[in-house]
Amino acid sequence: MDTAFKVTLRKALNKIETLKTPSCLEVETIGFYIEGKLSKGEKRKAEEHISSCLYCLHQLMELKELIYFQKHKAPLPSHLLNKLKDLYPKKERPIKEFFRDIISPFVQETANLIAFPFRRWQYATVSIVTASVAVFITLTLWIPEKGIMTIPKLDPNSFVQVQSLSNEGRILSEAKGVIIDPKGIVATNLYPIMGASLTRIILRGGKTYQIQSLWKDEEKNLALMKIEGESLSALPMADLKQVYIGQRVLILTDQLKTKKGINSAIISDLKAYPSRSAKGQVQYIQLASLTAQYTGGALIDQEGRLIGLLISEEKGMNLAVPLREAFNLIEEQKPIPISKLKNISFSPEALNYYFKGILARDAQRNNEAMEFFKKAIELNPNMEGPHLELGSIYYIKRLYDLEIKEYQEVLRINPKNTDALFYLGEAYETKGFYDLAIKEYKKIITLDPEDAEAYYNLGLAYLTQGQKGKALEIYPKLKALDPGFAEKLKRLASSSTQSRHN
Amino acid sequence: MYILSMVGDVILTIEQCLTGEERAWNLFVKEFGSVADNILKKFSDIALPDRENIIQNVFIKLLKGGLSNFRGATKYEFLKYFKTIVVNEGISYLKSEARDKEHISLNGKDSEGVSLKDLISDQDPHSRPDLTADEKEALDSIRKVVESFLLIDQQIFWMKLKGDKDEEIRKILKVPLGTVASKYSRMIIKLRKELGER
Repeated sequence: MDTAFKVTLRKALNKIETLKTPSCLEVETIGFYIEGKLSKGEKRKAEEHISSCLYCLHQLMELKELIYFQKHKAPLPSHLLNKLKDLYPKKERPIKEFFRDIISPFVQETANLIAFPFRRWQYATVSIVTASVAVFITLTLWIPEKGIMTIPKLDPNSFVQVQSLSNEGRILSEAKGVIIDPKGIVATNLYPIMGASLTRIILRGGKTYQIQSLWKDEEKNLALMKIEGESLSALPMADLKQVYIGQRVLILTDQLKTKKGINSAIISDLKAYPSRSAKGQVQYIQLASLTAQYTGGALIDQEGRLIGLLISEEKGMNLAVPLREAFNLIEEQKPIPISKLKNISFSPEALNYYFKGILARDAQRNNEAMEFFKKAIELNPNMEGPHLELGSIYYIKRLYDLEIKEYQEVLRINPKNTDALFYLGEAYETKGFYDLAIKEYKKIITLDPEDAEAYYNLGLAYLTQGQKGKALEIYPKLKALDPGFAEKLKRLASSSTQSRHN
Repeated sequence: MYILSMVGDVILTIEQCLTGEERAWNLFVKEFGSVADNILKKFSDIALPDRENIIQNVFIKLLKGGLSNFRGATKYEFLKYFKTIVVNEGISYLKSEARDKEHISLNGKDSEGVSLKDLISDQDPHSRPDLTADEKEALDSIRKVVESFLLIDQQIFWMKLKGDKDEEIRKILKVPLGTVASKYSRMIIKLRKELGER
């Protein structure tokens, strides 16, 4: 490039501040984007904005360079370093006499503290009342000593026992279940059932049902079963929007006893699956258990409403899945005969590694998360989640070939996974394979004709290939689904025309 | 133990500096002295003794209220704040040096023919008021073209335009050297069309 042209450009760029708009990204957001600390959704939004805003692109590059400088330190000359260190004003610390300066004030403060409530009768009264309230609250919250019936709205008949049996009728395992619908839908953990020939559900009153089939979600260790009956006792469902981090909840560990069957826990995190289709819905609930031992069972709030079901099989990893959305399984799947579960490759360890990976990923420990996901895949190559997550990490690490391979694995397991199709399309675009990307976006639109993002990406891929006509064909449909995306596509199509005319 | 726990937490280190913790200052100096040097090295014609003087002035400014006046909450904000101080200090140092000694190579041109003096004079928005309209138009054209690139290509383009060398781009963006060269040449053709034929 000749110098004059470059000088013109550089001079123009010195006015970059004039392009700043109220919708520009905060420095913090750009920093989190650079260091891979945004969720996939936030990241996509940030990329969308940066790619159409010179000011934010400038901010991104400036910060990227500074972070690079900070991470790749070149040693300073020692004389300069010493000079800089010497600039700091030295403070003389007086030498304290041990008794006078440390022990004596401590004794005095302690004596003051003890004597304080008794100096005036009002203070003494306040102290006694405060202590009484504290004792009352402690006793109220000490749930394990309270009977199940004292918790409002909690009907013990809603809890069932699930037994898995061999061909010979031998009990292979027992699990807890909860009735989530009066028409007889029971939710329980899937893994204790895998390998059984038959399953039996025992109600609190002793009535027993033989179960031949179920609906399953392997990645949530969740099974739904139907028992014949009307007006069964189902627990009311909690509204997930009202569940919050820090909320005290109860884990029902033993449905058939009235005492010592409840553990207390606190919700420590609500994890939204970082996929497009999940649309930010909570997929996992992480719990800080107040008991040391492993507990499974139903998760309920203090009003007796059902929140979810504990699913982790490992001590110290208290994860639950919300049950309100569980009915989707019934709509999406046909019931599977329990005897067929014998043939499915299965490893509860794989799920544990998957969860560990999710926890590591959420803590921004991508390398550790990657190892956990790989281990999960090694133990069970047929779980979609770890492949999808691994693909995401490869994307962050710019290992696009490996990223593509993981999404292809997801599609081998489930060709209808629109998340995998979408990310695969994006990965192809990154590699410059626009034809392949277009094919993937079209597949998504066939599966989900309401997917605005797929239409938008399809339009962009057409534009990149110079097929403006095809891109604009998408515009009316996209406008109906997402006017924002539609306008952006139209604007880009118009600027691509101008460039070509020039 | 305490020093180790501070590594990587810039804001905590700054707070410790402000509360009179000398060890925190030593850590801060080690970390940001190097950042300041790297920022100044981008001005290709600043010699090492000048850089050392500028860096010293920067840290004096930080101690004289620069740190306590920082209002941000994240290391990203501090990095930007720090860069502003370094650049401003560099500019005022070199301007004062230029007044005193004409022999300082303020007009030394880089390979692209752009001098530090050009860059410094452009920092003043009122220095060339007659160019404002043209510059805005040029910016608009750049925006139109750049918007049509993929984000990674935009980043390559931006760094090249700012004068970064291919090797630096390779390191910071982690892209192969061949990619930088080939992508940039395609992009610049597009931009030249847009700017040249307005």
